Amino acid sequence: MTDSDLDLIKAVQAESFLSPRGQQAFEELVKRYQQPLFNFVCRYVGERSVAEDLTQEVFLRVWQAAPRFEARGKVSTWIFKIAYNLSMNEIKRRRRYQNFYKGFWDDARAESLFSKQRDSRELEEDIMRALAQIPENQRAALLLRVNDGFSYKEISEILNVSPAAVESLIFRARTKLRELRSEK
Amino acid sequence: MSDRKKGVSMNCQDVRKKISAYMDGENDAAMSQRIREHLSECAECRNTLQAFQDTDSFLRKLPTHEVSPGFTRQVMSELRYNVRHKSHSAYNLLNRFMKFFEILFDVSELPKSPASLEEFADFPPGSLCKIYFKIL
Ligand SMILES: [Zn+2]
Repeated sequence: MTDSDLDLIKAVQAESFLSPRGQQAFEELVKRYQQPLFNFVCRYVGERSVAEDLTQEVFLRVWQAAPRFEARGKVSTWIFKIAYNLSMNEIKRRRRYQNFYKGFWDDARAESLFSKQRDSRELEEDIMRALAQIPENQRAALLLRVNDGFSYKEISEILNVSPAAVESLIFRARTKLRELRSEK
Repeated sequence: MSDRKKGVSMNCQDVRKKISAYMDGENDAAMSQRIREHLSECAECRNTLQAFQDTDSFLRKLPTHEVSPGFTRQVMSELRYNVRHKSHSAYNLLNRFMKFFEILFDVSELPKSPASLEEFADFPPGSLCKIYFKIL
């Protein structure tokens, strides 16, 4: 039987990190979460080139915060909250270059939005461009719901807002995406 | 709200606000029931539901990317390094120094740095400018 996320965190808490068991437990956690975190960060920040560094930073923070983790919440929610906060900081940092960033996503190429499917790379670019046009908190909520399968309650913990606010964020995100699609 | 006539039909505007949560199974049972009833007789709201479902399938077409091979190992060795240098501010400072010297003695490897950087890094290999640039 495989250890639950909570077992792993407990092992990290109980053992000195430098012990083989502590390291083994943490490595298992990294393996479990590296893929979903990396993809969430890619999609949310909209920039694959920084996603791996950010993901690595997430694990560093997770390890640093592990002694203070309380079993009241879910481990996955807690890890994604750290990822969300770091990604949001990255977005803020990038906002200084917003003209460049926005220009990249919103330019005339947006005309190709939702047009008939071509190859998968172009499809991905279309989706990323559409995502870039919805406000960040809506984008995060929608991705966490649709692509990562979190509940509204869990998303509310990750984004640090009320569940009602999550409902509204997701509703507005879907409405905006729908508008973008019907413009085409 | 309880004095409102629940159970009786909801109007389209109310339904559409709740359709997104309905899709996600996030409404309570009574609300879901009212929405289901409304949808069974309202084609326009069914269209809204369909459009939202299409949006979700559009998003789910995003490919899943792999982290680079060796990512786990890299994270773990970074952490081990971090553990051995518990004081983080001191660690950061040290890390920067280490990086600086690493680069100083590793200038022969510079031409392999990413092309996007290279475009702007038009300094002779091994020059201080080049080293400084790589630290940036
Ligand atoms: Zn209706």
